[in-house]
Amino acid sequence: MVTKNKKKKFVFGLKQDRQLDGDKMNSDFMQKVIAEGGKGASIAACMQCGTCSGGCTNIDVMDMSPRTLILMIQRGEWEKVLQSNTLWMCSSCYICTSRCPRGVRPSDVIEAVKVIAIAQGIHNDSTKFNQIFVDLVQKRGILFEPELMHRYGGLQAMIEQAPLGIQLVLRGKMSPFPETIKNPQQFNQALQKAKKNDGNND
Amino acid sequence: MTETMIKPTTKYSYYPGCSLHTTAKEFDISTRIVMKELGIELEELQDWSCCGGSIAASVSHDVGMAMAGRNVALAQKQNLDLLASCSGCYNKSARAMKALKNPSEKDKIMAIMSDMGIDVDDYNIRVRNVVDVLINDVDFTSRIKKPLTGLKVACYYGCLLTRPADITGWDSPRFPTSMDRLSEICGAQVVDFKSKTSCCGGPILVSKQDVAFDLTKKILDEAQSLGADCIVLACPLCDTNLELRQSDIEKKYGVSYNLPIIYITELIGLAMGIKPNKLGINKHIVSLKPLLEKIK
Repeated sequence: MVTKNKKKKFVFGLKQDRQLDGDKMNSDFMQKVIAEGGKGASIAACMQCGTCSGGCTNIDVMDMSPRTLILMIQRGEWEKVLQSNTLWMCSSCYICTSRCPRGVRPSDVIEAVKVIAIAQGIHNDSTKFNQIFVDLVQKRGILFEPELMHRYGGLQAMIEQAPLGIQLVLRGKMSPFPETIKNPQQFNQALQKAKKNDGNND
Repeated sequence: MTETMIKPTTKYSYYPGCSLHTTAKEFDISTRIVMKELGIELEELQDWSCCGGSIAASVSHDVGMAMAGRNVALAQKQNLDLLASCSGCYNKSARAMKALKNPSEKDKIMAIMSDMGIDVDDYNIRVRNVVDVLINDVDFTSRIKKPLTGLKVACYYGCLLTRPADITGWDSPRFPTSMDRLSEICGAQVVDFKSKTSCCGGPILVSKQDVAFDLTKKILDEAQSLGADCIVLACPLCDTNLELRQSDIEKKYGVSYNLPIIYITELIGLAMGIKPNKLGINKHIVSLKPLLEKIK
């Protein structure tokens, strides 16, 4: 339909709130994701070409392709996005981001959705691992891997990893003593405050 | 060609990161010795902390940016370009650098760093990776004393060394060639390795081990089928999958690789005639003996 109004409703090319399925777009959810993605992501620009899915490392094991995930975010389909295993199968390889012809940066979008999912209380092995990882880095400033394995996998993981651990110790590649930065308390407090503020923005 | 053709930065603030102090010690040792031989001084970044890897920013964007930004700020304080060997540390530091130059992000990150007791306003240093410096800043052709003639190598770039290009930018994100060219300068024969930019599944190694093992297996399979004597890389997390988990993968799939994995700085060190033990080559879990025999 050709409109005679001076204000065109749709033109080809980049238009922030009207791309594909423009009538179904939910800008609230997109804005939230963009806020978490450091404003680097321009989700509305996605034209559903599927280049991201074509190059995706782990698409075989995902229940929703990166292309579909972006579409669901455009539409504001919260539940579908947050319940998708795509978030946790993504290995942050940045192939999608480097190939996207529209500058959508799907890796950054997925990263941002992960933050929201954790804030929404989604809990699984991946969120558990990611949270322990960050907690431990916050605690000392430097990661101590044996502690990460122990906190994540318990005694069983420690036993399973023991043969490799011993080999590493023998080669001087693993110390039983963790390293720390000079002022880990201040580091930890600053990041805890940042995490809290980040959560409040949601 | 002479060494003085390009005048490189001769002093860097060197950021080893968590891995190079533990599982990738040989990468640390070989980086230090090779750079020293080439006349590049490395001053360890004082009081560095973990960059947060690919994980921190997926728990909290601001926390991730501040973790990585802290090291950039410390290097700025030393007024030296930051040099990282680990692809991950390099990538995340470069990403934080970009954010710190972005007016809409800068204030938020600087406020967190200020809480950490670090106040740096102006950012004008560069974040570099050791591969970038070795291929673009120096010419060590004349320093090759023991060419690695007859050695077939598969260069594996993985993800974070070259992607995304607006953060890295010094090599192609699809068909990178820097390590191939470095290996050729060393006299090695480089195989056409299609998996060179595939992902090994590093960040999901623990939480989705089966998926990561499948990915790593494909890389090892191709290197083996091409008859490569070793895989050359620059990422400790890739090494964790390809080398430290190699025996687990062999067990799981009933295959046998026994394929040495070597860091690019070790390979260059060997070609420069530096003694293997001085490069930390004895520290590998998958023995490099077959490789050393071949270049004797």
